[in-house]
Amino acid sequence: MIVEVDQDSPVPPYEQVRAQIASMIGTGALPAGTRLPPIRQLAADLGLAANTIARSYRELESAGLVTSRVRTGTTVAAQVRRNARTSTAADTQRLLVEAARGFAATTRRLGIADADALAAVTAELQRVESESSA
Amino acid sequence: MFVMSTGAIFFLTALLAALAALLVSAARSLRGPVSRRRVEEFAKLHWLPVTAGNGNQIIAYRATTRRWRAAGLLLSLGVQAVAGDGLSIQFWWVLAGWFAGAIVAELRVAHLGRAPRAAASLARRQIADYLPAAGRWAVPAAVTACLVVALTEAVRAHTDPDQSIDVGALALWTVLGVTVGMLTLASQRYVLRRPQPHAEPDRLAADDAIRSRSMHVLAGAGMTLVLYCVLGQLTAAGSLTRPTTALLLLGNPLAGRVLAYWPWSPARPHLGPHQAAA
Repeated sequence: MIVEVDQDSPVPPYEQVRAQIASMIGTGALPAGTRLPPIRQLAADLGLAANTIARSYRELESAGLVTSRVRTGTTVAAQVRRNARTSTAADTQRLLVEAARGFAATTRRLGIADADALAAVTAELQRVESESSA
Repeated sequence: MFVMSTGAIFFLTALLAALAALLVSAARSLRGPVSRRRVEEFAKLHWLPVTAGNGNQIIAYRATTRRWRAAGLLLSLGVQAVAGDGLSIQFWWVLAGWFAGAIVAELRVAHLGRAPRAAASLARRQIADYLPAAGRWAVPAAVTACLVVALTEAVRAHTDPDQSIDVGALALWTVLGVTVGMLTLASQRYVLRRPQPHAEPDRLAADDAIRSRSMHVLAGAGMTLVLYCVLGQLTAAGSLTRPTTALLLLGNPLAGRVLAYWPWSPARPHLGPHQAAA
């Protein structure tokens, strides 16, 4: 699992890191119980200040995506992937916002115009819709 | 008049020749190029395929570490020659100089360069990825032995004042042993935390092998030095037996050498299935 940070992007680095990790958790690429690297390690590897990564982790924790413990460090939370029957409207909204943030960060990182990004989302939604109705 | 036997002359000549060879080798290490054999030895120890991408990385690492270790060793020999009495050379100080050079080298080793778009793996790096259990426990065990000996001998000196224990020297060796141990552990931690930005798989593999090599060398040399401090403690306490002397004087550096050059393939959790296949 690789995290990228574009220093030239208008999206702040902490948000880039947060969005990518949240996206990985949302898609199941980072399963529950996965231990994330220590703040200092990830900060050193990315060439960022430790506070930047600490903020990303804090936001992930406040969103309920990860848990932080003194001994085990930061791990992916167990209750992240709920099925449709047990998830609440608030959970759905939160996951939607997470996905949108991740998409926006990726779009900015790749330098894609807003119109093209929205067109891609519309096309993808239409594709999913046509597949489900078929 | 003092007359040397033929055997003694032969022994002395061999000793001087070995010392001269060591000095020449160390002096050459300060500037000379890194041979292909050295690179192959390094690659073999860590099951690392040498590629066009990571070859220079290995050469740069070997050159930096060799230069600083040799500089430490030569400095130690120089200091002993100037400050010591005559030609006596203490192996502890030679190893201590070399070890100091090894630590400085780790601070000077260049890490992987970052691309304009910084990338990093989300896998945790742990010492267990780079060192076998024996390597991880060697230094803490040696420091524990140092503290146990200090405590035992201090109690003995307290309970039986007739014992001829040099308490000052005992304390000095204890402080030295614990300091060397802590320095070794801190250096290993530094090596572990050295930045590792994401790069091509062969360069990442070389970076892991470099970390593993550094940690092995630090563990082997650190353990040997701490156990030499234990030897110093026992000498100060006057409780050195012949088997203990043999063990600490000969077995200890041999064990350190074996540990430092123990073949080990570092775990590479940052490589996903796609990259590992590449």
